[in-house]
Amino acid sequence: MSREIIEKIKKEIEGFKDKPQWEETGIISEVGDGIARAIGLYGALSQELIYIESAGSSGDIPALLFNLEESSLSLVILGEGDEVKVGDRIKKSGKVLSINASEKLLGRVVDPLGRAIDGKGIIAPDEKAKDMLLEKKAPSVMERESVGSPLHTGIKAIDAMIPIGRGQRELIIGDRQTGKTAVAIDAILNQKQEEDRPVFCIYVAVGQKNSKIAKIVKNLEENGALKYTVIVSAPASSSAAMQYLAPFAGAAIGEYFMEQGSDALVIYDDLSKHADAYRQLSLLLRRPPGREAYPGDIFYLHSRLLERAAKLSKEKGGGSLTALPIVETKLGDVSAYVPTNVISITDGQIYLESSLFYQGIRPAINVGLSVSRVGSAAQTKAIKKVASKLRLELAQFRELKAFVQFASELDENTKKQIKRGELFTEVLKQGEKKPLSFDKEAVILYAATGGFMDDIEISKVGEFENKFLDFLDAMHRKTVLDAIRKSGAIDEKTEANLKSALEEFKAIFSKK
Amino acid sequence: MNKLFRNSRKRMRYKPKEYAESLMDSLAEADAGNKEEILKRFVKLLRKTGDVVYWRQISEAISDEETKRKGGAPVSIESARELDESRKAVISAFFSKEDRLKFKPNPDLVAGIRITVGGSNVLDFSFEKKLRGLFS
Repeated sequence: MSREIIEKIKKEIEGFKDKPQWEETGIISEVGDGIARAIGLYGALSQELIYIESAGSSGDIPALLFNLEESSLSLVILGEGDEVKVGDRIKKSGKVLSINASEKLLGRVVDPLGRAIDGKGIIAPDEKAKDMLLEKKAPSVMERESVGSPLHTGIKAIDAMIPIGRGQRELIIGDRQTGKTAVAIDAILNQKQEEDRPVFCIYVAVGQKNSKIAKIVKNLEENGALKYTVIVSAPASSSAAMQYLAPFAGAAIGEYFMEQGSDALVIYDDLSKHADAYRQLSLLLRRPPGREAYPGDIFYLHSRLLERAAKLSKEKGGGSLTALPIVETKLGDVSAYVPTNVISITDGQIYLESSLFYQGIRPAINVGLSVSRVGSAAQTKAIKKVASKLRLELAQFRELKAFVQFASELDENTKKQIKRGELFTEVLKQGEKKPLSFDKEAVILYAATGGFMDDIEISKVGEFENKFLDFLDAMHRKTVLDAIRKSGAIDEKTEANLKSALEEFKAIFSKK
Repeated sequence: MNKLFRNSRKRMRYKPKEYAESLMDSLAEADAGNKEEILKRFVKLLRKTGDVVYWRQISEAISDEETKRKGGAPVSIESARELDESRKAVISAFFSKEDRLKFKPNPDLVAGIRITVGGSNVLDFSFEKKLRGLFS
């Protein structure tokens, strides 16, 4: 074996050609906190990948050129910053940062530079692999198409009232511990049920605890979702530069799938920490601080990232990239700098509230403050049919509920409305890791909005739901569930079948 | 401890290049009798700004600036070992009189020489570069 290695090295030495020529170079003049300043290298371009020839390192250390000043350059070191010393030479690469994307990334955990960090060995080369630029211009108006096909999250409340379309950017916003990541992970898990047109998922963890990332990987693996998911990890222990690059790496991987004509879903968890990492970099680079010490281009940072989510036109392959950015608020303050920025960039938001979470309403979605600007254009006919009344009735219920706190006696109509509101709230509750396929969501919502559950006790709604779905699966799979799944709608025949199934089941359920 | 010292060290108020350019401009504009006074004032300024501790870098920048103004270029020649006078003469013959040549031994090169002209253009004949090329 050692003989083979020696022969291999000998061959490399024999074939090695080196022609000394004039090269442009620079010298590191200052280094610290993952940032280096250099002089020289006057022809370098902004955002260019620069190599630092460090005496202490076996190979060149990559760095990203950020500031181009009259007499110096500022670099963000992407490797081991401790090995860079004053006096080290730097050279240009002529390239901007890119990630080698391919389907071989699926099921893997990678860092923002595309290196595997899951201990499963190097990422196998792929013929179809493509170098995707981390910083890339978003598709133009002519390359896009309006968002029309739904991206089912498997969460009843979202699919019914805040529908997300493929190519949309929907913000998930809320305080800590309100279930933001759980909503996003459920959306990934649900893509397993999308048989017609699979959705590749990318989960970008920015500044998260390693234990949380490990838990998510385990969760995805156990539920069979890791095989269509890529995890880009820049944990809290990684440098600010890596945390800054992670969402761009996720977007680049998503774009690879989009350009192949497939659909992709990218989750940025979360952009608050991303903004903090960028603020740290900017302050170290001595860029002037603005509001809350964020640099002046913090809006552009997120807008150029989220603008890359798109539904491409048929001429461009018809692929799509859906973005679900997550933003953490402090004490429910949505008017802080980063939340307002991202709210204005995205096509709607899912607002999660701590008070709802502690009341036991999970997912803790505040339906009043949540919105999807794409709306019913991104809803299957079946869901659209059953969910149209839901939002209005829930809004009326919330208003009445606030009002009746002061009233002692209520008329029958008001009582009925409140009861229905309570029923809907109960129906929209859903456990974690239990996403429902859209046909099942449609039948449950049909039963609730059609008045079939009006006489069910609130405490028994969950039980009714589960047993009814089991009943349908066993007895009416073809005539109801498969029919809805195939056509995407509840036609007259299916509706009749569903009604009779509901009546049949209610008779059994009430006997118990 | 070293790291702490490095971080606590004061940043230069002006860059060495800026000091060098302003001194050379002042000297060029001054009368012959005034030049000594200008140099004294320059040292006073360095004391006032506290940048006198960076005197080595500033004097290097002044020498470079002077060479540039004379039409030459600062040339740094690094070699793995100290070069003897005959070799230095051979290398010097490639450059003009106006260039400021500085020979410096650098064991990191392992073997060969590295020539840097004007601080940013490099011609590298070192073994270290060949090894990097082979293994990167």
